[in-house]
Order: sequence, then C-alpha cells, then structure tokens
Amino acid sequence: MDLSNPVETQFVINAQDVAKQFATQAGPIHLFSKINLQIKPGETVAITGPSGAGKSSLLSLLAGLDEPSAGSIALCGRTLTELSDKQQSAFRAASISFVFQSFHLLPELDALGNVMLPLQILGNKQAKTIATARLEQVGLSHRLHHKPAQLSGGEQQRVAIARAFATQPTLLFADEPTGNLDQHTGEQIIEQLLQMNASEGTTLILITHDPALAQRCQRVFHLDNGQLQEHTV
Amino acid sequence: MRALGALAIRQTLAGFTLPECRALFLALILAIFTTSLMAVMGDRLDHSLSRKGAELLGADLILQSTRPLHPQRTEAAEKLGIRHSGVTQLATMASTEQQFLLISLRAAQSGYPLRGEIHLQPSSTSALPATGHIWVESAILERLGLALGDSLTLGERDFIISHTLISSPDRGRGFVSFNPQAIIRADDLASTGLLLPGSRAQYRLLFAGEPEAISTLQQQFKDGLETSERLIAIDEEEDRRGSALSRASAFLKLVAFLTLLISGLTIFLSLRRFTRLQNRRAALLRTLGLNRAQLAGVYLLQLLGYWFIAALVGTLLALFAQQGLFLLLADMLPQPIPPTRPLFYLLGPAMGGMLVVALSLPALKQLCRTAPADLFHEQLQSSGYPVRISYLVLGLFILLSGFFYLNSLVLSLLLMGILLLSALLIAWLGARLMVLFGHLLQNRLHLGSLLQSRIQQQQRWYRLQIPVTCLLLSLLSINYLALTDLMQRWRAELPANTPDHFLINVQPWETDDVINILQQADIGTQLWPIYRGRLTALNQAPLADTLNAEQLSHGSLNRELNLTWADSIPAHNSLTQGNWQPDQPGVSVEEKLADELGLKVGDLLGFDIGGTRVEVPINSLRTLRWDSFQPNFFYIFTPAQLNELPASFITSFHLGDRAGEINRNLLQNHPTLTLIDVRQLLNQLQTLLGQLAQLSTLLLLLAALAALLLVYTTLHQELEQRQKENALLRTLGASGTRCRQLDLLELALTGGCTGLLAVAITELSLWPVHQRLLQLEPVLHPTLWWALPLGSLVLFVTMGLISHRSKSLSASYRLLRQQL
Repeated sequence: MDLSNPVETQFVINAQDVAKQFATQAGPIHLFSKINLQIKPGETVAITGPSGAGKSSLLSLLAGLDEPSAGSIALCGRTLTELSDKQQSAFRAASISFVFQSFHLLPELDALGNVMLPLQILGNKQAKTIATARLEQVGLSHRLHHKPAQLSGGEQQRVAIARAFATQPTLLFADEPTGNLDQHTGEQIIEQLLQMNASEGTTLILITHDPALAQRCQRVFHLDNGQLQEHTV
Repeated sequence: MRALGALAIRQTLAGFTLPECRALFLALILAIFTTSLMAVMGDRLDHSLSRKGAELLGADLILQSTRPLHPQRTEAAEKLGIRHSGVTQLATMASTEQQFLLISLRAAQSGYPLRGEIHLQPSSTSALPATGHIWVESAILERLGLALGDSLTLGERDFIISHTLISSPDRGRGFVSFNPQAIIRADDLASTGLLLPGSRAQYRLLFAGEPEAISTLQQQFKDGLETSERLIAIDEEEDRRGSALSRASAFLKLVAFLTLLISGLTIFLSLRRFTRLQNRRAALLRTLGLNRAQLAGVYLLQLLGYWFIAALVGTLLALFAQQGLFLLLADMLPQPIPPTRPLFYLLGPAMGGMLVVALSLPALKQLCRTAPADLFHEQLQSSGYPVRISYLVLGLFILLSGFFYLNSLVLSLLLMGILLLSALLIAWLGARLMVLFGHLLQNRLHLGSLLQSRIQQQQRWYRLQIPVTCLLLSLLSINYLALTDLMQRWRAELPANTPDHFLINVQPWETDDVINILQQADIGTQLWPIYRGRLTALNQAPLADTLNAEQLSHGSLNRELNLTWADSIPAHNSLTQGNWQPDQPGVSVEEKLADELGLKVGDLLGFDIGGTRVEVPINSLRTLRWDSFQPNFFYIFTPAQLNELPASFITSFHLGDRAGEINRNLLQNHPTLTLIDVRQLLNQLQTLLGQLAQLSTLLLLLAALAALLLVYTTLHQELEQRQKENALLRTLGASGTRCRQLDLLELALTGGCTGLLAVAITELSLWPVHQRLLQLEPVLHPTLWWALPLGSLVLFVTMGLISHRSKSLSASYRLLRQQL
C-alpha cells in the first residue's frame, strides 16, 4: 500500500464521536466524549482550553499517535489505527510533522543534521539541499553547523519549524510552540510558522493558551469539561 | 538504511558524553578483556600443563627408583618390543675456580629422551653430549659467569661446556627439578665420583612403545614394584594437576568470574539507566517516522558500536597483558610455552556481544514501545526497564559463565549462592550501620539532620555499593595479608643462628675431615647418618593387616624415609612419652606421625632398609619443629641398630657471611659433597611466592577496577536524585558549599562503613586461613583497622568528586529539563 500520497478526500481530519478515558485505581476518568471534528486541507485550526482539559491528548489522537477509547479518526481518508506499525510510521514520515513546546532537537546533530533527519528517514536523496533551503527560509543560513546547545531558544524552535516543513507534510501539529519563549521571540516564531504554512498549504493544528494567537487561525475550538466547541473567529 | 546507520553512528559517538554510556563501554572493555585474557592464559596454561604428557615426560612410562634399577626391568620391556633408555639424576655442586652452584645433573644413556626433544643453542644433531662435554642451562652460565667452551668441575672431573640447554623433557620430580639443569653422558658419571653408597640420586628407566605393550609392561611393573621404586605414567602425570600452577589457574578463573560478574552488573545498571533516559528521544524518532523495527535497529546498532570498539580495545589489551603475565610466570612454567590459538581471543568479544544483546533486547523491546504521544506531556512516562526479565537474563548469564569458568554447574550455583548470601548480609549490615551512624551524628553535627534524611533516602544504593566494594576490598586484603604474613612470620621466626646450609652426601670416610674443617671455623655440628627405608610391619604383622585404609594411605608409608640413629635425642626435639635408652634397641617416633598411624610406645616396628629387615620396639614419642632448619627425622634409632648398613651423612650449620670461604674449603677437599644453601632456596621460594602474589594482586586489581566502575556508575545514577534534593535545599536557603559538604559527608560515611565491614570480613576470613591453611597463629592486624576504612573513605569521596564534578546547579536543572 502506497502511503506516501494521501487519499483524495474532502477532510484531512475526520473525527467521529471520539472519546478518551483512562483507567485509574480510583476508577475510569472520562477526558472527553462525543467529539466530532472535520478539517479541510490547508485550514489553520487552533485548539484552546484550560490546563488539564485534555488538549494535548486530543492532539495525540488527531495525529494518530494514540487510539481513542471510542469513535473513529480518519487522517487523509485513512483510519491509522487499522494500519500496521510499519504503515503508520511510513504515513507519519510522509504526511505528518510536529512542532513541540520543548523543541526536541537531537543534541548531537547540528541544525542541518536535525532538519535533514526526517528527509533521510524518507530516503530523500536531496536531503541536504532541501534542509539547507529550509534553514535559509527560517533565517538560519549562518547557523547550519551549530549544535542545539549553541543556539538560543528562538533559534532552536526555528530549526524545529524548518524540520517540520522539510518533508512538505499534509498535516502539521504544533503543541504550544511559543510556550518556552519570551513574548517577542514567540511572536516572531508564530509569524514564521503561519507564513510558511500559508505558502506550503499545510493543514495546521495548533494548541495554545494564548487567545490572541488562536485568533490568528481560521478556526478556533475550545475544549473544556470534555466538550469541544467551535468559536467564531 | 544508510540514514539510520549514520544516525546510529552519530548516536554512538554522542553517547560517549553520557556517563551511563561511558560506564557501559568501560564495563564492556573490562568484561571482554578479562574473558579474553583468562581464555588465552587458561589455554596456554592448560596446554603447557598437558604437555606433561609424553612430550614432557620424555617417555610413555617411567620407572623411577632411589637405587640402581635391576636389568630384568629392561629385559621385560625388550620382550614386549618396547624401546628403553635410562638416566640418573642427582643434585650436586658444580664449581669453577671461584664459585660453587647447586645444580641438577642428568647422566643420560643413548636414545634419551624417548619422547619429545632436547633443544640446544647452538643446535646440534647429536643426541647426547660428547664424552667429557656437558650441556648446561643458561642459569648455570649466568650464575657462575661462564661461557660456552669454558670448563666446569663436577666432583672429581672437569667438563667442557659445549651447548646451552634451552629446553628438555623429563626434568625430574621434587627437589632436584628446581635447580638449574645440566646433562652429561651416562658413561662419564662414574669418573666424577659423585655416585657413592648412600648418595641421593634418582635412577630412571624410560620406556616408549605401542600403547598396549606399555599397558602390559605397566601392569607387570605394578605387580612387582619394590619399595624404592615408583612408576610414572602419562595419566598419573596429568593427575598432578593439583599443583601450584593448577591452583593458580583455578584462582585465575575465579577472579575472572568475579570480574565478569561485577562488569555484568555494571552493564546491567548502565543499560537500565540508558534505556530510561532514551524514552523522549525514542518518542521523537517515532514522530519523525521511524517504525519500531527501525528504532530497535538504530539502538541495537548503537550498542553494537560500543561492543565493537570495546572488543577491539579489550582484545588488544588482553594480547599485551597475557604476554606480560607469562613473562611473570616464566620461571614457573616449562619452556617454551605453547602459543595461543587465535580462536581464544574471540571468546571475550563473543561473550561481550552476547551480554550486550541478551541484556539490552528486553530493554530495547520496551523502549520501542514508547508512545510518541508522550512527547506532548511534560512529565514523560518512563517506559521502564523490564527488570524481572533482565535479572533473569543476568542470572542465567552469570550461571553460564560460572559453568564456563568453574567447569561445574553445582560449584557455580554454590558460588553464586554464597556470593548472593554474603552480599545480602553485607548489604543489610551496611545499610543498618549507615542508619546507626546517621542517628549518632544527628545531633552532633551541623548537617546531622540532613544527613540522617539523606541516609534514609539512599538505602537502596547502599545495598549495592557497600557489598560490592566491601567484598572486593576484603578479597584484596586477604590475598595481600595471607601472603605477607606467611613470608614475614616465616622470616621472623628464624633465630639469628638458624642453620643456613645443609651438607649432604658426606661419606663415612669423609666425616672426620668434614668435622675438622667445620671445627676450625668454630662451627660445632653433629653429622647424622642417613639410611633410606620404609615402615613395613607393625607388631610382626604386615601393615595391611594392622592399619586402616586411611592410615595405609599416609604419605610416610608410600615413600622411602630418611632414617637415622643417635646417642641422644636432638636438642630441638622433646620427648613426650616413654624413655630414650641408648643402650637398649629402640626407636623414637615423631608424635604426630605416631598418632596418625596409631603407634604406641612398646609397639614393635618392622623396617625395610635397602632390602634388610630391621625390627625394633618404640621406646619413646617426641615432638620436633619442621621449620627449625635442622635435620629432622620421623624415626630415630638407638645406636647399634643400623651400624652394619651403608649410610651417607647429613648435617646443617650456620655459615652467615663466611659461606664463600668455608664452602670453598669443604668442596676443594671433598668435591663430591653437596652443599645446599638454604638462603638461596628461601630466596627462590620467596621469589616464587612473590610472583604468585604479584599475579594474584594484578588479577584482583582487575576485579577491583570493575568494582570501582560499578561504584562510579551507582554514584552517578543517584546523582539525579541528589541534584533534585540539593536544588530544593538551595531554594530553602542552603548554600552550595553546604550541599557539597552534605554530599561529601555522606560519601565519607559510606566509605568508612564499607571499610569497617571489609576489615571485619578480612579478619574473620584470615582466622581459618591462618590456622588451617598456613598453620600460623592467627593474629589481628591493627593497621588494617584504620587503613582499610580510611582507604575506602578516600575511594568513595574521590569517586564521588569525579562523578559529581562539573555539575553546577544550573547545569543540573538544564540536564533535568532537557534529557533527550
């Protein structure tokens, strides 16, 4: 099965009646239930909500990294949980990217090496050229051979953004991408992220606490008390 | 795939900056080095020892006697189509104008040896020295300052040294085999005048032929073996593996097992820590698109990378180390030592690879199950380490390697059990001791309360650090003290005028002159006649009818003993039962021997002395001191019992610094005398013991190195908890200095407690070792009581400083926040 090209479909994400619960010693905890969400290609979506509402868990489910307790989620027309680990991984490598709050760069690789890595995993022969171009795009052409420890927080997140866009993913999930940065740097990073997203036509799912940041997305959802509600922008 | 390979290589190299990877790598080197070294040494030692078969025996069968062998013996062999040859070996003095040296002389007949070869320098096609020529080992040339072509005097004849003896089979057994060796033709022996009645010589007949014929001959000889004869066959020779070298080999294996065990534990702990810290990274790689198999591949490649480098380093180290160790053992082993089979070098890497794969697979399996979703949570769920499976794998591995080293499943199980029980006991005691000290110091020290709470938190680490270090320190101390005690006390117990020379082979017609020479030098001495004989009857019945099986296997009944007669009991003997009546026929028996054989005063003993039967009642029992360096005898007869029999005489005396002059005087007048310098023998023995001590210390240091690495690993692993705790203390107002003081105080206490326990174990273990094995009066070692705790304290503090260095508070925070 060729997983590198998404199936032609109206929605890149189609979540139907999704629920998630955890078993604890004190009994099951229902994080959320009956969540329905349909996202079209190229849309920018923000998910907000108070701490502990389950935003990150919802993101994991939508990205196919976790299985829902009930309901189904289709990414690019495919239900990931029905695929094998190998197929899921191949799909993830080709179609999904992530940007994390804590950057998560590999410390032993320089900026270029970090951006090249997902391309190399895909077997892309042009990995170095593409990665260099992506780093130029985020304004780090002078930092290609710097290790993460030699970069500032903002620069590290830019490397992470360059890495996320390197494979031209269909879907980009960003979990509080400015959470570890000061306000000024955070704004610059968001600008960069949205700009690249627009030019690549990637679907962006962004988790944030910041209402102002959320307002910059086309659609905004609020998760609270296990319910997901769409707010009008 | 190439990208994954490159990633694995980068990960491997980057891993060297992580303490757990460094510990894993070093532990692997140690494990591989130890295994290869022991395999190679074991192989060479075994090879060397098993050559004591035909090649070293010089024959398929040897008949040895203290008297000339009967011609019928060779006739029997000829009938069976067996080839034969003969050799006479004796310890004698070789001399030049200026110097004397005790050597072992072999006078060989044609065809000697029948198996194996004599190697000479320069090489020679001739099977025996030419008439009037002698082949000598290089030690003789060195010690007498001679060269090839020089002359050497043996008894009454001069010989030309024609060749250096490099190696030869059939070096002989017992005392004679220790001395530097020389070979002459059998025809030349008579002209030296060395072989006289009562001379101590070994006469050997060598046989070689078809196995069946040899077996028949062996049976024939066994059936008609005389009291002075002994049969030496290849299989019996191989039974002699209970020798010092075999024990050294066993010790080698035991230490190797211990090192491997500790290294295995370090590898286990490092892998546990490594996989725990890799969760976040594994999750990230999964989000980048690696599937589980690829992830496992990357990590396995990384670990195999460490293994590969460790295998190279470990094997190279083993190659050099074994050469060094064999140089150390050179004097103890028959030369040349056979080379190692290259296959044995691969054992270490193979074992290391198995260890890494077996211990890491369960952990890697768990690691690959890391959920990528975990990256979205600040508090990452640890995928954990499959502890139970890994303990099982480790246990199985230890059992297998124990079996490999000790050659017995029961023994390795027993050893594991003993080690485990001792470790558990020490762990419990150590942890209790720490709590006790913590309690005692609580109100006495400024940091007492903090120390007390730290001790409570760190209990699980103490249970690992204390027993491992304690057992190793104890082993090192026991090894060192047992050997030094033995040597020191031995020397200390010799009074100033203890005899330092034995004079043997004194003929009856030489006794007056010898006494004269000694008296002129103010040396008063007594010459003891020596008769070779053995006990054959008790109360007129054969021993087989009167003694039990255990008594019959007593060493004194299976060989010829030195018997003597005297007017009075020697001064260094004391009567414990009966009366010494010189005018009555009687024999005085050494008390311990009498006790073991069940002999009582009044029993009638029958002796066979060179074919003559002598019957005499026991008149007394006496004790004696074997370490007095005086001639000592199990049986001393009253005068007139043995007068008719041929004898040579023996004596011992103290020469001290005048040795050279008196030796010359004695040997110039009586060239066939044999003078044994006890100091030289003692020096030889001390060198031998010293070499064994060096070898065992070196090997134990290897184990100690493994233990240090383990302590380092454990100290590093507890660092995280410490840093968190220190960070908390800092926020509560404690200064950085105080936190450091607390760390050092705790480490010093751990070291001190470990040392104290090690002292107790050492003293308790040395007690039976001294009493039973070394037969010394057990004593306490006061120095040990402060040196070991202090040493252990310094060790722990140093290791703590090394493992905790360069970790500032901010660095610790950073480390904790971004462990990827």
